[in-house]
Amino acid sequence: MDFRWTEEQRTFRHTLRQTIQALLPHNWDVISRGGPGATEQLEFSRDFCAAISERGLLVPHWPAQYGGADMGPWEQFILGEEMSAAGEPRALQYMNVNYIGPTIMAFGSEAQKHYHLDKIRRGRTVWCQGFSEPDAGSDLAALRTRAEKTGSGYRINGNKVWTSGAQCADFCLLLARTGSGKSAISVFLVAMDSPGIEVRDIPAAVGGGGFHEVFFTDVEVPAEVRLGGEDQGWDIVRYALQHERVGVPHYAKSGEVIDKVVAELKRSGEFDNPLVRVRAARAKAACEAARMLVYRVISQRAQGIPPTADTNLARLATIKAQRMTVDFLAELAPKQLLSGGSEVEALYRYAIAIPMASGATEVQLDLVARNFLDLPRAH
Amino acid sequence: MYVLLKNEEQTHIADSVQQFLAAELPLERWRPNTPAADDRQHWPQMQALGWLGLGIDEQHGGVGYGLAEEILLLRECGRYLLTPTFMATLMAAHIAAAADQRRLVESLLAGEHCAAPTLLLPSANDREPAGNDANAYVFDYRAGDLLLLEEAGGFALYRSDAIKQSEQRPCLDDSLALTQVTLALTDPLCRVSEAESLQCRWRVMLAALNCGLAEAARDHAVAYAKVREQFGSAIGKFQAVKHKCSDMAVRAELAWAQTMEAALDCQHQQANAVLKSASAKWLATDAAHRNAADCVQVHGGMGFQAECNAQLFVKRAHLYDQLGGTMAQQLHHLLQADSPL
Repeated sequence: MDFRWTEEQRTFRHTLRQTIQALLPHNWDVISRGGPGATEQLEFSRDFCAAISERGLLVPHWPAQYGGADMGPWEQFILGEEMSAAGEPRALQYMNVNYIGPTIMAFGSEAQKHYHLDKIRRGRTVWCQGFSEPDAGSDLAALRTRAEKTGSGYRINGNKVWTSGAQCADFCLLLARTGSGKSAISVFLVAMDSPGIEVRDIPAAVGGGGFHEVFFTDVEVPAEVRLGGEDQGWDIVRYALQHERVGVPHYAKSGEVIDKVVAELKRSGEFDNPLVRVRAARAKAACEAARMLVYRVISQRAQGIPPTADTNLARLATIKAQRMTVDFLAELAPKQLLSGGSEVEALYRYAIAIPMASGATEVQLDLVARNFLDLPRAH
Repeated sequence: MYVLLKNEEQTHIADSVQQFLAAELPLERWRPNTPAADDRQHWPQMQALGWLGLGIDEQHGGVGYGLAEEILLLRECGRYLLTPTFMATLMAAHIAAAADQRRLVESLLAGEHCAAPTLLLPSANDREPAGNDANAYVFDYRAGDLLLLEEAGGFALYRSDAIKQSEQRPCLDDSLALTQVTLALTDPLCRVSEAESLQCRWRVMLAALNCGLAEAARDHAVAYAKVREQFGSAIGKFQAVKHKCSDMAVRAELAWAQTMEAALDCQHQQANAVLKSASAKWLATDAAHRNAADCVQVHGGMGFQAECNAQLFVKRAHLYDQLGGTMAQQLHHLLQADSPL
C-alpha cells in the first residue's frame, strides 16, 4: 500500500481547477440552481464540455484510439471530484464519459463506436438513461417496455419514468424486453427525435429537477441501434452499473460546503463551541472516510480487478456522509437552509433524492448482505 | 396520577378538527397543477369553530380550554401542513392575554388580525443594518399582519409598519411564502419579557405540530408500502421497509406521549415544565425529521415528485424546528433543567 498523488496527478488537478474556474460564467450559481438534470445546466454543458474537450479534459481517461489520452481511472476520478465540487458543469454528460461511452466501447459495433464515441468526446451530445419504469424501480427485472422484431429492425412500445434530462437528450440508453424470459432484455441506443417518442415533465420537488416520463409508441428503430447481442441486456447493464454505482463523488461537494460553513462559523465565533466543532468534524470525517472507500474501488479498477461488493459499500458510505453533512448544515446554518437559492438549500434539496438514485439504499444493503457477507438471498 | 387518554370532549375536539381539515384543506391542495392553496380563505370558518380562542381563558373572551386541548388541535394542523400563521396567531393571542391587552386579544380571536412567525437573522455580515434595525424572515406574511418575534426571555408582537424593507424570496419549503424584511425594533405593539411559561407553551405547541407531521409521514409511508409492489409482492412485506415503518410508529408515539405530558405539566404550572417542554420539542422534531425522510425513502422515485406529499413533510419540519428554539437549543434546556424527581 502506498498512497500519494504523483506530481503529474497534482498538476492535472491544478490545471482542472484553473480551467473550470476560467470557464464558469459569473452567473453559474443561477445556471446551476436546478442541478445537473435541469435544462439550463444541460444546455450550458454543451458549450462547457465542448470547451474542455478542446483542452483534452473531457475524456482524458479514454483510450487514445477513441480520442482519449490513455489516462487511468485515478485521473478519471480526479476529474469527477473537481467537477462535482464545482457543481458538475458537465451536467449529465458525466454519464456519457464515465459509463455510456465505455459501455459502447465494450459492446458496440465498429459503426456504433465510430458514430457515438466521436459525438460524446466532442461534448455537445446529451444522453438520458431509459431504465426505470412505473412498475420496475428497484425491481428492474420487472420492466415491460417491449422491442418487437420487424423486417428491418424493432418496434418499441412502453414507458420509462424518473428519466433525468430526457427533455434535452439527443439519445437514450434504453432497456427493453426482446423475448418472454426474465433475461430476454436488450439495450438500444435510440435517437430521442425518433417519431413516436413523447417526453412529459414530472414536476420534481427535490434533487436536480428535470425528471420525466418517456413514452414510446410504435417507435421504429433499425436493427443497427441494438447494442451488443439480442438478450445480452443484463450483461451490458451490469457492466454499465458497475461503472455508475461508485458514481458521483458527492463527498467532494459536501466537504466543500462544510468548509465554507465552518469558515462562517469561525467568523461569527460559534466555532468556539465544542459541540459545533464535534458536529463539523464528524461530518467532515464521514466525507473523508467515504472518499477512502471510493478510492479503494478506484484502486481495484486501476489494477484491473473485477468489481466487488466494495462498490456498494462505497456508495452507502457516500450516501451516509452526505446525510451527515446536510444534518450538520440544517443545524448550524439553519437560516441559509430555509432560503431558496443558497448553496446550503440547494445541497439539502439534492440530498433528499440521493438515497434513491442509481439503486435505492435498501437495494445496496441487500447487495452487501449477499455479496460481501454471503448471506442468503431474500427473493 | 397521569391520565394520558383523551376524555370524551377532547375526542370530540380532535375528531371535528380532523374532519374539517380533511374536507376543506386536504394535502392534495399542494399538488402541482391545482389552484394555489390559500389557507387564509378558511380563516372565518376556523374562527367560527372557536379554534382561535380554544386555549384562551373565558375572561379574555376565549373558549376556556387548556393547552391539552390546544395540542389536539395543533396536532391535526401539523398533519395537514396548515399555514404557520395559524399557530402564530394562537400564540399571539396568548402573548396579548399575558400582557392583558384585551383589545388585542379580542381582535385576534375575532380574526381581524393574523400573526406571521418571524425569525431574526444573525447579523454577522457586512450589510448589517444600523441601530435598532434587524433583518428577519417572515413566513406566509400578508400586508397588515402582525409579526411574532421570539426574543431573549420572551416574545414581542410588531405591527406591519415596523417593516422598512421587504423582498419576496423562494423558500426551501415551496408551500410557504418567505419574505425577507428589515425591521425597526423600536416600538412593539406588545411585549412580554421573562415569560418562561409562555416559552414552554410555545415549545409544546410546536411539538404538537411536529407530532402531527411525524404521524402523517408515517401514515403515508405505510399506506404506500401496502400497495406498491416490487419483486412480486407489496414492499411492506420486506423487512427493510416494514421495520422502517415500525420505527416511524415508535418515534411518533413516544413524541406524542411526551408532548401530552408536557402540556399537562405546563397547564398545571409544574416546576419541571421547562424540562418536559424542551424534551417534547426535541423528540417531536426528531420524529418529524426522521419520519419525513423515511417517508420519502419508502416512496422511492415517487418520493421526490412534487405530486407526492412526502417531500412536503421533509421541508416543513425545518420551519417548526427553527421556531421555539432549534433541537440543539432544546438539548441545552434539558441539560440546564433540574432533575424531575
